[in-house]
Amino acid sequence: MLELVFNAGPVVKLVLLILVYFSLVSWAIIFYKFSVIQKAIKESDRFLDFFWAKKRFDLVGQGLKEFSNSPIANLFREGYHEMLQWKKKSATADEPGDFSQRMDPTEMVGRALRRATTQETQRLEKYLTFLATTGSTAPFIGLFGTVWGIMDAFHGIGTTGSASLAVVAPGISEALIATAIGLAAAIPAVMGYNHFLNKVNILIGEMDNFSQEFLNIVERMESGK
Amino acid sequence: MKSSRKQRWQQLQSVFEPGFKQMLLASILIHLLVPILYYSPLFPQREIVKPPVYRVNLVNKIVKNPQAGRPEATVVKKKTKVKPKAKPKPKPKVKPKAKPIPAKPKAVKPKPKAVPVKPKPKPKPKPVVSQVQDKVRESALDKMRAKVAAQAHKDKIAALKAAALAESLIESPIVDAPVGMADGKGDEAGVSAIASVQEFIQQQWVFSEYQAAGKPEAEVKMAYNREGTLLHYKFIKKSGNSVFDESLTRAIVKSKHLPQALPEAMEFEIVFNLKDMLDK
Repeated sequence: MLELVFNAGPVVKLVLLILVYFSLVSWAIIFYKFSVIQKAIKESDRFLDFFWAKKRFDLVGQGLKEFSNSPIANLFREGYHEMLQWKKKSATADEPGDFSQRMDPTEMVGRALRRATTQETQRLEKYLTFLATTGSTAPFIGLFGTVWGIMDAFHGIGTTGSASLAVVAPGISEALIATAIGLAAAIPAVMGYNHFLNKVNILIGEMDNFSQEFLNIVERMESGK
Repeated sequence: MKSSRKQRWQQLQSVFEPGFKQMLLASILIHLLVPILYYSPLFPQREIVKPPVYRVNLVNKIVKNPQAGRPEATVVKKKTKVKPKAKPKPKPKVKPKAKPIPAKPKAVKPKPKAVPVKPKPKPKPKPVVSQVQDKVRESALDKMRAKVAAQAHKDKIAALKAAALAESLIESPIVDAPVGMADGKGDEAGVSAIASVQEFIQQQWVFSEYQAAGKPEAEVKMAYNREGTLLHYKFIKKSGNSVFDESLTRAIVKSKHLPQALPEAMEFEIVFNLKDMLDK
């Protein structure tokens, strides 16, 4: 197996190096994303239980440190922070015409939550584009190496003047290893990409749901004043 | 607020997020494990069993000081082929053919007679003249046929004599010569190492005469150990034709293991030229 790699031509070797790089980084991303997304899902689940159990924003805010990996906890942090800012401004706004008094707190918190959702989505989707790139380009890079290797093999046949299977087979075998490694790099990358994208979409859905719930609570608080 | 935003930007722009480097290391380790596992006893390799090939050269043994004689056993092969063809010819062919050949014209005679006799009754107006003329013609034809047959018989005997003479010439000095080299001055039966190596390399050589113009010739210095393994080689003089040199290099590398051991570690300087290679 390794002899095939060592006996290959320089272009095929370069292609193999690129594919090994793709594979290395893809697997690193798969492991990293697996750990990050698993933590995000577990901590979000725990945070939602914690949130509905406490029923008070200040109490929830005190326990946020335990959920540093949860995107929903980060959403709450941003929304709560925005709400506190508004309260502070409205309490200290003595001057007539201060803009903070006229603003609707629900809209302000809503904007803060949307911004936080975007940030968390970006964080969760980071590196996934590399998996998509690997999945779509690695087979083609491998195919390029194979085509080049077969071209070399046929050139060798022309030079030796012999077209026996013993002359043709090793060259083609060396060339085909590029396609094999290209597929070996692409298949886990595509599988990982689809899996993580699905999980990220679930988390985005959860973040949207939480945003709506949070805004409802803020609106109820405002109307109950 | 500002500082947290900056942190988020830095996090988004950074290539390695915290914890990613460890995962990269884990990935490298797993990639290294794959070939190790592949070659471990957990995954036994399928060995392609090749049928054993034994090459035994009992005639052209490589010796240090070859004696004077014929260098190749192949010379014998060519001449032994002549023997069986030549021997059976004289005995069975000469005797039966010599007798029936003159007899044939006699046997043929009645046929032309019998054939013209039948149409004769039809042209009746000239019966006497035609019969006399026919007889004269037939006797003349008989003489001619006998002459031709005798000549053919003579030619055949002469050809057989010539073949027998050639056979006797072949058998006499060359075939019976002991195994050695044409210019051998030693006392050992066998061939010289340099000739054997040159022939072996020429056998491995693959080249088409259409790939080279002119008369390319290259001189190569090669060193073999006692077991007949090539230690190193160097072109003393290149032919100037890269295709020829490349094909020669391939042949030398291909023949890095000689089919038989040498009497001792040796160095050769061999001149390879296209004509010899194509005549191999």
